[in-house]
Amino acid sequence: MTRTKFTLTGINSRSNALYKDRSLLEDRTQYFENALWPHLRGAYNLARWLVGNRQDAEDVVQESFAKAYQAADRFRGGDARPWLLAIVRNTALTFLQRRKPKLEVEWSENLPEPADRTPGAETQLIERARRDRVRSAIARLPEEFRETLVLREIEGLAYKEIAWIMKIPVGTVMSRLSRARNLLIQELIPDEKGAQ
Amino acid sequence: MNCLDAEPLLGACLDAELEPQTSLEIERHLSGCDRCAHLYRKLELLRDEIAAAEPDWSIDADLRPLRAAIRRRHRPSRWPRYTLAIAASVFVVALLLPGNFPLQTGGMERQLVDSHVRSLMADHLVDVPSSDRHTVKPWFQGKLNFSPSVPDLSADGFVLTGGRLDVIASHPAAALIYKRQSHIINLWISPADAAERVPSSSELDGYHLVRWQHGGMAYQAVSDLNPAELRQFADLFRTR
Repeated sequence: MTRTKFTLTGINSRSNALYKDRSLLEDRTQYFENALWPHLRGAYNLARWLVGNRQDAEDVVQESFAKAYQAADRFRGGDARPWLLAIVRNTALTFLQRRKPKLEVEWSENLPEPADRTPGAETQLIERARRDRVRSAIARLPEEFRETLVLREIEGLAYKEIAWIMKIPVGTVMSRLSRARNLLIQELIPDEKGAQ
Repeated sequence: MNCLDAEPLLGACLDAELEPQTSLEIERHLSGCDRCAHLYRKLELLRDEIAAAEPDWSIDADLRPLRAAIRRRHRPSRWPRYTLAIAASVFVVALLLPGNFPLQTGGMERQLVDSHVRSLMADHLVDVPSSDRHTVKPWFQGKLNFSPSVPDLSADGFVLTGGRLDVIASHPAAALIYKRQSHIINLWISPADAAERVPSSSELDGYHLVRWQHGGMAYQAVSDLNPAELRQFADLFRTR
């Protein structure tokens, strides 16, 4: 990540540069608010799928936002989402390389959830079971398949955008998606349902 | 178009990623090929199942602490740098002042929240991972000069997750970790220095704190859980 042109050098000087840098700073804040902020959820979702637990995902998102912020001047308007997600992906992959292999099972995800006795709890329970089932099926996909599928099915990105983010040809996006979906169908879509 | 050509393109057809001409050829093929039509139907069912299950992790995650952390890091500074230095030295001087200076409480809350966040970040949430109070309670024996109470609150939706040794305000403390759905609660127990007190709540950086004293022990809980539920946790713990 290269340094931006407007590091905060002018802020302490009393020259005109102060005024100029402040307005740049405000532009940047504006950019942050408008272009990046709406994609926090998507950023967290992708990070969570890639690194596998909440704490690490939050760290990755924080770092990604810092990088995106620093590279603000390289962003040329338009939809910031693929751009931000590409940063999240790179940060997550670097993080995974650094992370020590974990000996224990991720306890934070595997503990049984407490029984909820509030009204409507049963519907919630069913919905949660459905969500858990789909999540764990996706989680078991090989990494490249999982990544492609999440970008397409959950983030709703176009093949071209996925190809750009993952730095692979569109054809590869297509074949990975196809493999991922076939694996999920085996897991999630029972035969009789499809045969109607 | 035959099955060999059509099959790899079915997903892209469903995603509306094909040229109109190719899509049309696929559709024509599907109308005459049961096998591919069946595959296509399954792809549709999968898409619907994923959409209905909402596996998006941001849906049931509380992103407020993350949002607050990012905001903290990127709030543009409108003050010259020395302002911060002055504020910092004032703070340090205040901390060094003896007695019950009001900032001490603030400093304690900051310490608790920082300790909470650190415990989540550093892969060191628990020393003794167990949901069994009969495992967690004896684990503290010989490590502390008091024996913390470790109630089982799982019936009320607070699941014991483990325990950890910690240091709070330079005193050794037992940290108990409870979990409410995906929210982690850190509860520190250490000998109290004052008379019995009822729970008091506060908030810092989007985290909620509840502190109380009971039976000569001080209890301090921090979580990103909403204040009402954290309060409920405190009340349950206190009356158990």
